Amino acid sequence: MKEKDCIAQIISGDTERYRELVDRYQTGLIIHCENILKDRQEGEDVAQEAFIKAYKNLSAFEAEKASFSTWLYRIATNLCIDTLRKNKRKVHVKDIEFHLEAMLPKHVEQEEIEHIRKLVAELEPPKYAEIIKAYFWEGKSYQELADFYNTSTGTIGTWMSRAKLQLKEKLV
Amino acid sequence: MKDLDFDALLLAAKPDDYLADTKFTDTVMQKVQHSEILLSAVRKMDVNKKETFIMKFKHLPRIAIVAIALGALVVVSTGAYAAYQLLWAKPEVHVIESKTSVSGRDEVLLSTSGCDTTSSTRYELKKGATIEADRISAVVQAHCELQAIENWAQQLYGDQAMPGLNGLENNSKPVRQTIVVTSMATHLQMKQENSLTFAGLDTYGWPKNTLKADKNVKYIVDGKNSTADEIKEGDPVVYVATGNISMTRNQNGSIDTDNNPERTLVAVIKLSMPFEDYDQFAWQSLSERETCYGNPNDDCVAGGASIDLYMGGGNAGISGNTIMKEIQGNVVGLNKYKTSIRSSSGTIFTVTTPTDVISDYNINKAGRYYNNQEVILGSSISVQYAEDKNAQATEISASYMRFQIELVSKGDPVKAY
Repeated sequence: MKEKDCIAQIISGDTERYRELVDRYQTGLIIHCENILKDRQEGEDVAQEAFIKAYKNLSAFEAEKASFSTWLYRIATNLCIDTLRKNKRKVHVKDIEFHLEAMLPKHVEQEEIEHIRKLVAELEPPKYAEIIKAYFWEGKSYQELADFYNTSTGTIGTWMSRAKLQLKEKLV
Repeated sequence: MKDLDFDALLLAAKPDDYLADTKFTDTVMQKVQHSEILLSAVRKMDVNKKETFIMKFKHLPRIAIVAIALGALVVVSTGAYAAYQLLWAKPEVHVIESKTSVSGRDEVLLSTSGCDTTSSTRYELKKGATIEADRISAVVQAHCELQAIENWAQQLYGDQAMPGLNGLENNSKPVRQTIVVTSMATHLQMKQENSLTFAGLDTYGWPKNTLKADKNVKYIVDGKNSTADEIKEGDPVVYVATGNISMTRNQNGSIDTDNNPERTLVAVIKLSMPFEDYDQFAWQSLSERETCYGNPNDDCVAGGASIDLYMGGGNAGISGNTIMKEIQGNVVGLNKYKTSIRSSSGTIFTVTTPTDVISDYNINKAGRYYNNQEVILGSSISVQYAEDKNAQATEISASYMRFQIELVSKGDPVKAY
């Protein structure tokens, strides 16, 4: 079902359809908030709040002006800024708006998607493929991965960087 | 390829057979369904009323949004209070300084106690405010009192723990959950032997609300336990009601909930100040101000809506000592690629953009999308830009910049700040 139709159904009272949107965007939105707040748990909390806020304001969402994901990410970004301010924390050097622009869900051609999946599967050592899949596709946190591999989150970060580097080299 | 772009690419490549985290989704849906219980009442309204309600609803602060929060995790009270004991700390708000800002707005600096500690202490009146500056402290104090009441109600009447929805199998037996509804500030309209009727909510499009009042209802005056006789018709009040809803996971794996639980009145609290101070439009007349990121001598409006005039530069130059900064102010000069604004400290910042973004916006977008809210001299503008953390430049031409019009509301109608 098209996203627009799904939203129309939610607005007309089929609340349960909102589950589809939460399922679709949760992983990316959590990572986006985590990137800004530098804290996984806070990122999850803010992402959750963003979904709830988006739902409550869904009738005001104007589909012809922006996609739902753009709107949702904007709500989440504003909530991240509020959280930083409430906690009297400075905005991180990595610019928030840049995060937003870069992290918005992208339309990617099917051919490229297949290519990326293939490259991920071919990562060496295989644990690099596992952590990419677990973090970006299963929504696991660095801490969960560290627990699983019985290592530190710092090591997971290093593996992640190396895995991405391998992928980038093959993609360029 | 930038790292975050790459993250987005990886996310886009997620295969369909990777399932989302159902625990996260369940938690969101659970909260959504709770709010849905009250929103369903809105759907039953006629179209005009509904539209008005939703317009107002979306601007309401947390305290006013029907206050269906899930049960507090810890019950800190058994309710066995002595009559003389304050049930919540009485908020106090005092004016330290009152002045007219550089942009000509009434602004006050407050000292607060008993309020949410994260609350700002500097407020100014928005354009079109429905209150005068001398009422700002009273409105903030009223807001703090509503927050205190809501917190008290959640702690006293909320469930001790979330229901175990995550462990529910499909076609499970229902799990029961207590919800706590703290009303918006309202009036006690009518007292009858076994019921109380509250009126104020219909300001926001809600029907008049009559609830049964049995012997277990608490009556609270001046933050202390009192009696029904001490609260009279016409008094400004907040009421607290609880309801039981049942939730179950259906055969499709989704959570179903009954939509219209009966509510039980559990407490009526007489508010300590006149109703006008608790009115949502009074609270919405205020803007909180905080120190601008990276420009500690200036204040910026906290939160709020905006329209993008220009976004550009990607991540260029954001590394090392470069940080993001923000500045807000009123337009004092417009000259094609250069826009000058006066900040709260009276400093003039000049923003240079690669193209004439103001004219482009005024000609091509303002009329079509934004209720003719053109950028003119005096318009409130905010800029976020990348700059060395030690620099104090007033000429902004950063390779990364976000240039926005500040708004009071981005709904319908769009209202410039």
